[in-house]
Amino acid sequence: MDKRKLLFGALILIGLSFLLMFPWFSGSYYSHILILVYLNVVLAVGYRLLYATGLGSFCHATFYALGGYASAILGQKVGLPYVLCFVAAGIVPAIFALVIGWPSMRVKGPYFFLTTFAFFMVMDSVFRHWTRLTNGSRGIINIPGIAPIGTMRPYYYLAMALMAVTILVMYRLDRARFGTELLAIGDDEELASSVGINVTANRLLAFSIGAMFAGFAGSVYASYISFISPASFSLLSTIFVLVWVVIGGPRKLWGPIAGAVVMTLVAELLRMSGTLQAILYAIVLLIAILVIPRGFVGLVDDLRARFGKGEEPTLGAGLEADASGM
Amino acid sequence: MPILETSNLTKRFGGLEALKDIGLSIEEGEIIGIIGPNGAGKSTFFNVISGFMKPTTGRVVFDGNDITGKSAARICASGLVRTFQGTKLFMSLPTVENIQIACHVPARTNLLGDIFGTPGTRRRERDARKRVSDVVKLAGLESVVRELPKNLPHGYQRSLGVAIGLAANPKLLCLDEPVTGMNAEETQLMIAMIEQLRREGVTILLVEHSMRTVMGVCDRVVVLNFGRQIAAGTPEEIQCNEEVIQAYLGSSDEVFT
Repeated sequence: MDKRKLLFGALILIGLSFLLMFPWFSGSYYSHILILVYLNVVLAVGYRLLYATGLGSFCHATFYALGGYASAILGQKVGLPYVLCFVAAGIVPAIFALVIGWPSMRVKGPYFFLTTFAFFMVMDSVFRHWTRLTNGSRGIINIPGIAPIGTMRPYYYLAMALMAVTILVMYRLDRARFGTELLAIGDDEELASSVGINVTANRLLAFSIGAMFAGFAGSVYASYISFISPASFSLLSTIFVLVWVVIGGPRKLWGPIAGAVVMTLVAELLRMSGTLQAILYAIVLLIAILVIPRGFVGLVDDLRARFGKGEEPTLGAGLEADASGM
Repeated sequence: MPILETSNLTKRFGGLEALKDIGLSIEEGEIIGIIGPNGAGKSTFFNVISGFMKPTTGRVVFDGNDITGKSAARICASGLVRTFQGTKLFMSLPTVENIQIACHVPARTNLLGDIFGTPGTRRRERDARKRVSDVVKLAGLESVVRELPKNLPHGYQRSLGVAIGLAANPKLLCLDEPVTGMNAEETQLMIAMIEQLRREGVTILLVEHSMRTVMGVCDRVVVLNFGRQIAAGTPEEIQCNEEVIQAYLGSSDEVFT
């Protein structure tokens, strides 16, 4: 095991321990920010799955909302134990993703953006007007979860655990054939079909899995805050996720993670208002597209190339042919 | 039984008849060339038989199965694989992964197997690795496996394009202008690869502009013009065919280069 990997592993371990101990020595303000970071990472890596195939949706926040509402309604109105609420929070958006995804994927990128935007608008309206179910704009209060309302520490660990599991699953998917297929589709749809890749099926799966994890995150969020309303999931919410993925770089898993972490920390630590955040995101997105179109990931790849190291294999590394066997 | 048989294959785009009543029959192990002036319908023909376009009327039967109108991915899975003109590659994947991704053409993706690494997945990966290394050797790409396609010289990129098609385990490989834009040396390498493929039992369908290549390597040649089949036969027969000569002289193509 070479020194670099050892050092890297040690850093990860230290970072992990730090994060695990965090709520014990820090105030609730910073722990709250980290909870948001963890949930946003889940959103970002979920969004990235479909985005890597060249389709950007406009309804990721809707899946977040669907999960939150499903969890809240089943918990607060029906009284189911949280575990069931959590699971339902993943299933509901996943099903919606399949249902609206299937017809939407027959159209090209920009039109997919529009159909998912339409879905967002419809669901926003449903959340606001189906008051019997959702309490409309007033929202649902006193949402139960894994701990009494108002506690933070259990939710800190729940969010962290969700993020860890999500990253693990995404990592395995990346290294498997599925991950390489997604990248291939993003590179050239036609060529991918010509080698037997079912483009629509792969995209639907990616869309669904991303929606599922967004739903889980929504459930944690709803129970943590103990409150949910349509105002939490605005037009901008999905755009924020899009920006995390774009500035991070969708080609590798760590890109959207870095994007989500950096942007969430900046916005929260600087205590930016909604308007200021919108401006920040707009500027950041413009700069990213002009200067670092492939995101942080692209930046690192360019630096690597500048300093003479070869390109690291991207996805599907689990299938890598042994160079010495050639 | 012929490996590929088309009957009355017709493709209309609105008022334009890109293909009219194409009927041809290809036996296993043959190398068939399809030639014709620009706009004759050669690429349309490829698109229709490989599932990228649906024919207006007519049938395509591959290996005994009717594949008319099936999707490209399905047709590829049944053994009819096509390559594209020019360089069409997965630009963000290293060379070896370009080939790997075409490798096991499974009927369904086994997602849970992928996440948990089940024995079935592992066996598929082992078989895939062997096939990948075979294809890399055949295409002469051993020295550049880790490179991104954008860093490859032009000839290697074209070989990679064919290698991707090969990796998909074709019974019939349809090459769309494999040597267009290549120099003499690159062309020779491609021809050698094609002949090696025949020895390995792959049937080959070739669309080409370069008459010299077609005459040199094909068993039979089919000539299209304005969507119709105007001649079919051995290269020698075609070269003497009046209608063929007329068709080419009527266009601005360089013919017997």
